[in-house]
Amino acid sequence: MSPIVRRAARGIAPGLLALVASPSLAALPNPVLYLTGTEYYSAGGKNWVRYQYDVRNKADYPPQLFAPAPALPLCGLNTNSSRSWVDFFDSRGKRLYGFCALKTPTDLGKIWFAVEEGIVPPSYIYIEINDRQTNTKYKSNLADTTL
Amino acid sequence: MRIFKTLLVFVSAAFAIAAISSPASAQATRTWVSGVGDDVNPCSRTAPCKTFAGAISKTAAGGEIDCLDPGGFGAVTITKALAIVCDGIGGTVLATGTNGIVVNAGDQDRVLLSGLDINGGGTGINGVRVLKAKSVVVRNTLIHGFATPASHGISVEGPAAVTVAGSAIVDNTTGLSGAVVSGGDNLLAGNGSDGKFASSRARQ
Repeated sequence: MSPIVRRAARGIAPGLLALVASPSLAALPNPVLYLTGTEYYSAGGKNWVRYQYDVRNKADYPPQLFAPAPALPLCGLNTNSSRSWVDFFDSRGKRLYGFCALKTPTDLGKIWFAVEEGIVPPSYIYIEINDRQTNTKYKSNLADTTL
Repeated sequence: MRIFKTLLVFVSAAFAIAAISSPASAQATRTWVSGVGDDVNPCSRTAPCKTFAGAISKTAAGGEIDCLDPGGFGAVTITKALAIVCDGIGGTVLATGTNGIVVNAGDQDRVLLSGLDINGGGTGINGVRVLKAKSVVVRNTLIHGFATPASHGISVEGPAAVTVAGSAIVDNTTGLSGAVVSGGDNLLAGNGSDGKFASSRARQ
């Protein structure tokens, strides 16, 4: 085999592996996000309001979407962050918070963002599940911040 | 030179008017909330806000927040003279883990809460907590589900003449705490302890 062919094969192999490892990811739906409640708590000497969300169709996502991915870029100092990261955004696209180490699709049932008490939160927010392995983003509906 | 002086007077006057009128124009006397509103809006009837907390900063002292359609409009702290009016609409405040409406206004400020459903969801602290105001009137309002050991439907903790009329205060740990005058036609039921309305004569 010529060196050029060998190099090309090496470059293609990881992509083929990814396709084999996650055959059904192309058909994944967008997340259906809804507010489950709010929680008041204190941290760092301040009072905060946590807005808690669930993804109604979280069972539609395969476990490998949240498998540890040490080969992908780190999440801060966490060397074992998951393959997919989940980020909250306000309706204008400003990032509010994110999760980079969810372990299973079930964890989508307890995601949240927080604002300091007394601060009016954005009226609507959405999440994006970013599958870093395939560079695919799944964007949710706009969800309320009041019940 | 005379023209220059005249011009200077006009320019100064324009600046003075702008300085005086700008703060007032930022707040409307009547604002609106809607279940499909957004707090980035000016809270006008055609561009309503989403929550009472979002609307209050855009409502002038002595003004009124009205509900345009049913929705959950969130907990709020009232710090000025204000009316919140949702009669016949279905304006809900779901206050799990917190107070529904806190009144901490000036000692000459009058507050009116009308036509609300204030729900503590079992974990709310106080439905209406009054810290300070000249007067607070709660009418045609349902206050329920404030059921932690220290919860109250209405808790009056500071100087204010609080009157409740045509309202139901049910299924709370304690219905009333502090001096609350009945304006008539109220229901106190299902609370761990109902509490008692103060004598209206004593409040006057």
